Amino acid sequence: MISPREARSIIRKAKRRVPHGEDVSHLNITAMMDMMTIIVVFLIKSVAVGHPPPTDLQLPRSTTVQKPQKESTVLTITRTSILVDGEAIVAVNNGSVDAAAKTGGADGIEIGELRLQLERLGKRTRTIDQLQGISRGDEGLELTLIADRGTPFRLLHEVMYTAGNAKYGKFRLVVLRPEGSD
Amino acid sequence: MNVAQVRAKARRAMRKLEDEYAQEEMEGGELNLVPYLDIVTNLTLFLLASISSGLLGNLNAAVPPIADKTVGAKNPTTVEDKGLGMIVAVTKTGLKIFSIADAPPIPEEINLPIKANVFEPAGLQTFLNKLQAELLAKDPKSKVKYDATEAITMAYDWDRLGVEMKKIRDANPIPQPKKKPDGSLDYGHSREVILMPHGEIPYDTLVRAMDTLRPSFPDVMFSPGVK
Repeated sequence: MISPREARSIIRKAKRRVPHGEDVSHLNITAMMDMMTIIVVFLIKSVAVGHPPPTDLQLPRSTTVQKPQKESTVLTITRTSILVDGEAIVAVNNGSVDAAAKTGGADGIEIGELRLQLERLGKRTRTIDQLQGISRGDEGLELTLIADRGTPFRLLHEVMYTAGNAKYGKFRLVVLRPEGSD
Repeated sequence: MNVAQVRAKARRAMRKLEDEYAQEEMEGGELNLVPYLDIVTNLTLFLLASISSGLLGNLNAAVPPIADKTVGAKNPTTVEDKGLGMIVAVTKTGLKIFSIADAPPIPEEINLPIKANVFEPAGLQTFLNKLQAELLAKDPKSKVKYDATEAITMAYDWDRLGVEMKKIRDANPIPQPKKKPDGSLDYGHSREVILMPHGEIPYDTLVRAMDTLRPSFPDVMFSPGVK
């Protein structure tokens, strides 16, 4: 026979032998997972918004150290077409746009379809600016211009003239910076 | 109560406790997120590398505003308003520097002739051969091949243009800017130069012209071009 005191002591010892679960053997990574998931979604969205570079496009090299700045409407001139925000608007053949696509025919310098598209986008940008309380004054809208290095100035001029008529007054020309200029 | 009974009771208590802990782990336990974390981390690094702007740069350009005749009549344009009125024309025969200011900073037009007639197929081929020969003389192992666009760009005398524009700038330094109400600086037209290229001049040549002009005249504007 054992006394109740001894019995309690045996039970206490037995209880102590039972493993007490895991205390803090690993970090709680749920919060980190939340953060990483948000970053991945944001990055996927950013990659999706940027349009894939056309294959028939070679950028000129420049000594500029200025990096591409805030986002604006992107107009791309490749060897075969003019694109606005990745959407092909007019075909380019041998460095020029077909006379039928220009207002005024062969002697015209305004590309009709391009103007309509830029006006549509400009209207949308101005509405967003208005809602955000942004005033651009007389400067007009900004256009990021990506052009093939062999594009003749005649075509560039037609594009800039058309953009000017659609109230785009500032142009950001995208070029290749010298290596190691970061 | 004998020892056997106490041990049996102790075993029951232990089993009960073990069951309780197991239940707790089942209810509050977490999934093993470590493999998922590995995937997400790799994906994040890949996406960050994909969206970086890399070596892309930016050049600001503008077109001159169309003059408002009514405003001009009320406020006649002064020499100071026009800046130096510098224009650099890139023609098929070379570079021309001149001014449209009432008091031009240079007495007469400066002509910098093109090194070769690169707008004719024969002239272009001859110049390309010359460039390639010069390159191989410098580096016999070079695999660089010039194309027509590069040859046109290299046919112009950019070094002379840079020197001439610097001379003009040194003789006419940029005045102290005024401060606009929004805090930005207003240089007026003092930093401006108008680039007037021929319609056939490739974009690559224009960028080279802008690079050459920028140290002396940071604000480059495009004119409608020369015929």
